[in-house]
Amino acid sequence: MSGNILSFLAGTIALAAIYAIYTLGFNLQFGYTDLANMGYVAFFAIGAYVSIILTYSPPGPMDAYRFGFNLPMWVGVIAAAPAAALFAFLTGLPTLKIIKADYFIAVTFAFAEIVRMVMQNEIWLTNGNFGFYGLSRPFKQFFSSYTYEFFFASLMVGSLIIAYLIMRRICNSPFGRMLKGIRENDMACQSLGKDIFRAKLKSYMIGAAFAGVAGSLYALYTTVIVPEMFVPSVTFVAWWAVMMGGKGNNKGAILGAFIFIFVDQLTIFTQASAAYATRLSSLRGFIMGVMLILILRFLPQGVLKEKKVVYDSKI
Amino acid sequence: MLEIKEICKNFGGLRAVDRCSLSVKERSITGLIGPNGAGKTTLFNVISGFLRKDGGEVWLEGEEVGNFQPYEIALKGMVRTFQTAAGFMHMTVMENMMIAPQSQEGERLGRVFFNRKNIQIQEKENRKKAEEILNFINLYQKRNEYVEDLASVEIKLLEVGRQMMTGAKIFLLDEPMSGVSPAFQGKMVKYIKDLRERIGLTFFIIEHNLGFIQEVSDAIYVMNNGQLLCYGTWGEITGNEKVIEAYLGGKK
Repeated sequence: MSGNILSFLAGTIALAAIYAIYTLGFNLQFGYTDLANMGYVAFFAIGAYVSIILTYSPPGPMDAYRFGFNLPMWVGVIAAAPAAALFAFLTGLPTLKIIKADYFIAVTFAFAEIVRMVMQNEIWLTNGNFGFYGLSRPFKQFFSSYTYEFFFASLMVGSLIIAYLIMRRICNSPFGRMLKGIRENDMACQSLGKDIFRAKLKSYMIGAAFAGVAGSLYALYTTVIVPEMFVPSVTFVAWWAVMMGGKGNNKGAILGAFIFIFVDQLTIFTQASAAYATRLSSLRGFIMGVMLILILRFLPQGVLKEKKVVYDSKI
Repeated sequence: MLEIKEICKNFGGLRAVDRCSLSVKERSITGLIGPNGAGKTTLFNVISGFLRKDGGEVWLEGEEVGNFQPYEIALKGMVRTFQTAAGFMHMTVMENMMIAPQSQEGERLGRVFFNRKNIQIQEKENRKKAEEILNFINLYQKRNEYVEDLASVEIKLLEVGRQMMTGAKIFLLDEPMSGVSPAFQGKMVKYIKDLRERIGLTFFIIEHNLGFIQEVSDAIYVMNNGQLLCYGTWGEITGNEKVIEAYLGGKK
């Protein structure tokens, strides 16, 4: 029994780490640059699909999909980043030029739905609603199925650490400072000579790249990818986690994602009987909502608020 | 230095700026006054690129910048402030200063990852400059406080400090005295004159506080109903019939 709990815990940590990478990218967009992305899940989906199409076995005569390139898994994970960033570029180009955020909000929301429609209907590319099943997981052959969970969790946590270090360097640089400036006052930023359109576009693309990588890792975690996994509510996991953990704080973003996944998985784990299970799972949204309201009431800046940049050392 | 010719700006049927031509000489402190709704801020918005003009030309040091983006105009050496004290509120005073220098190495992502040495050198230089300026405007003690916690006078001063960090040559100030206590007027005048003497900056200032404008500027433009009424020293414009009419109403 305790072994079961441990492996469940390992799986939860792996999932939380993946969502933490996902939330880190969103925090750059929203927490740092004030880009209210309502379709963030689109980049998660694009990352997942791109990496699968690149790594899945080529189609047999009975298969509906046309492409499967059978490339190594790491190629898929790495390719997910530029693929997602490319779509961010295409959607950001027309929307970020406009100072008013309304258009960006509407377009990102619509874009995510378009991506989902494409996944459902362009069967030659995505295999439609059947999606892709039985994906292989990295280094699986070296472990027993029990120990593999722990290995996979550490692999995901390792990826999260790398993602965090990259993000920290971006955020602590003058580039990150400029993004914060855009968030605080975009007009003042322009009047100092900052090309805020380019900066916003870069922030949007980097954030999308993080979601893309998270999506490709998510595919390795679930081993199944269907369009239904990328419904709009997944966007709001990132929103929830950033609000909960702390807007503009990378550690907060990670913390928020961990809280979300742990609460979420706990409602699954505590399912005793079937009747009780349905009740608990329908309560999930309620629990998340109440938690968010409480945090916004009592800690409006999130659990970890944005860190003050202090210049105190001698030059 | 700054020359605008026949600038027009319409909002629907309303002509907010009507064929305005004026020039601001190098190292001058030029005032722009006029009753509410005269079109002063609209003119500023057009000059600084925040609004598209409907006609005319803007020349900045021999270059037509009328169709430039706001940031491009700032990079050409003309920066502006806003009517309401604007700053990067949830950032510290020092961050506000450090963000201002133009075209920083560290704003380029390639450098952030592969050439941190240059960034650090530049950050050091900028910080030294920022500390000097903060000492000049008396905000050094507050360098690690959030701007949202400052008094509005301090935010106005910080705005000028940020502009100094950009290395720009011409400053457009939109109502530097609004929301600032009158007791502070003398100090603001001194800062502006000091900057002109020491670094050779040029100022173009909108202000409703006529006492301030009288004290600070060498020459003044008066605007009413979108048009420029006259130009001259304080003595000249206060004697002008049209100006008196604009401010006090015409004879019955």
